[in-house]
Amino acid sequence: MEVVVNNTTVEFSGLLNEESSVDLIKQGLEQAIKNSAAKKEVNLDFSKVKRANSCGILAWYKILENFDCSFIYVNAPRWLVEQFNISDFLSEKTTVSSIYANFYCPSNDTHEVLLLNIGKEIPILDNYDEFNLVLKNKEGFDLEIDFEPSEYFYFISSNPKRFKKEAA
Amino acid sequence: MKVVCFLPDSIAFQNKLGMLTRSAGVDFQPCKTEEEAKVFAANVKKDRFFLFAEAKKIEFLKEFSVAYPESRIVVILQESLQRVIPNLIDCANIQCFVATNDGEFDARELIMLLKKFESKDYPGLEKHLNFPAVFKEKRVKSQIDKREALKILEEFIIKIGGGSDRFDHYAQRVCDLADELLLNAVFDANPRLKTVDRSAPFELEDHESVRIKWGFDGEVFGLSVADPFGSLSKKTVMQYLDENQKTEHIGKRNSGGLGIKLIFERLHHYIVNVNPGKMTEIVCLMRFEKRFKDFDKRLRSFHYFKVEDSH
Repeated sequence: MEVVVNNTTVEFSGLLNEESSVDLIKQGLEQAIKNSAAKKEVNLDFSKVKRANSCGILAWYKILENFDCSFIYVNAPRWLVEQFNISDFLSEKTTVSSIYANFYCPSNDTHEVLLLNIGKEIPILDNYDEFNLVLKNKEGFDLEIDFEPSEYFYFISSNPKRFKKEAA
Repeated sequence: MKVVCFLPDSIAFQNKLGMLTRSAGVDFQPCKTEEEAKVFAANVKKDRFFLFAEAKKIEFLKEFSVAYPESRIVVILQESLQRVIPNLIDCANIQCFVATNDGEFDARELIMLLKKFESKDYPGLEKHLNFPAVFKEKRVKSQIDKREALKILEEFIIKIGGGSDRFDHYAQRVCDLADELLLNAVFDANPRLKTVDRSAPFELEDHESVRIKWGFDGEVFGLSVADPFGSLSKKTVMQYLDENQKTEHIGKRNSGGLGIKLIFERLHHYIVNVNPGKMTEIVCLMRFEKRFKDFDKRLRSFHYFKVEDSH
């Protein structure tokens, strides 16, 4: 996995697995924390990480545990959103600002992955059973949500306070 | 071989199961009451027979499992496996959990299941895919082999989809799945490597090597991973799937539990064939639905077979 520090954002790319260098990741995080000075708040961008396996995910979780800092996931890809929803992956010091989600266009049978911001396109709710979002693609055709909102946004509805605090 | 069916609340399922069973030339015995099923079980103790019953009949299944340990039970799921498992985890003779979707069985799954019961021939990916599926296979002995296998697998799926976004996306899901299965086969199954640091490159001896195989028949994609240890128990899989474990602290886990949850998100049928001490083969089947939402919402099936040595 490659790690690039862009001011207070750490951008990862490649694969997060047993081959990922823990030292390289730690160095990137340390640099971004230093850049954030007293604010101690770092953005984590995994949008270019194609896949992750359980070894990589556990290693990542353990790395974060050792830092005394706030982390914000930005541009989180689907595999990472699934982790947010699987267990207590998000801790007291981590939150999420934006996530990617799948959309389907029935008019031309295509799929698109769009970035959704929490608090904007995704309102902070206790329940997403009735949630819907109709967007248009570049050709002006309707895009349908291609995920189950109550499951995909479970990490928000199970702890809306975390995100309300963030939005405030 | 006989099939005993106790689905009093689902006559449509019972009728379809009866039709499929009879068409396979297997004796079919519908039962209207629990007592009827028990009487039948008591009378045919010496024959091989399979009880099909709904997951919600928890007390009946528990009692039947204890009273007739020689029977084999197939549980019909109308809700997710993860919800059902905590109640049925101790029923040792439940062999399969068969999902229904939109009020229907998957006829293909049931016919295959009946064929397997009759022939006692359980392992093999090929039997699950129709002609003209092309199969690819790779032996994995090292970290480099693993990386290479996942690359070929990804290219295979992207190629069959003609570079479409849909197949691109499914390629990632299948590679996630294959990666986890390979980790389990290389590390968790192998007593020599079970506790080693997984971040160090691994090298397997010839007799420890792992085989990955896959194919697509235009409708179903299948993937199998086999190791030469035969140590995966049904209870282990079920414990990892138990929804109650969601509350367990992630940092305290080994990768196994996390991995198996990740695996189940990415398939529709999870089939485990174990020849104890000799071989574990995991067969995963899935349909590349047009909408990912439809892929996700399908209920998952889980089958566990102890392979008999003659096969």
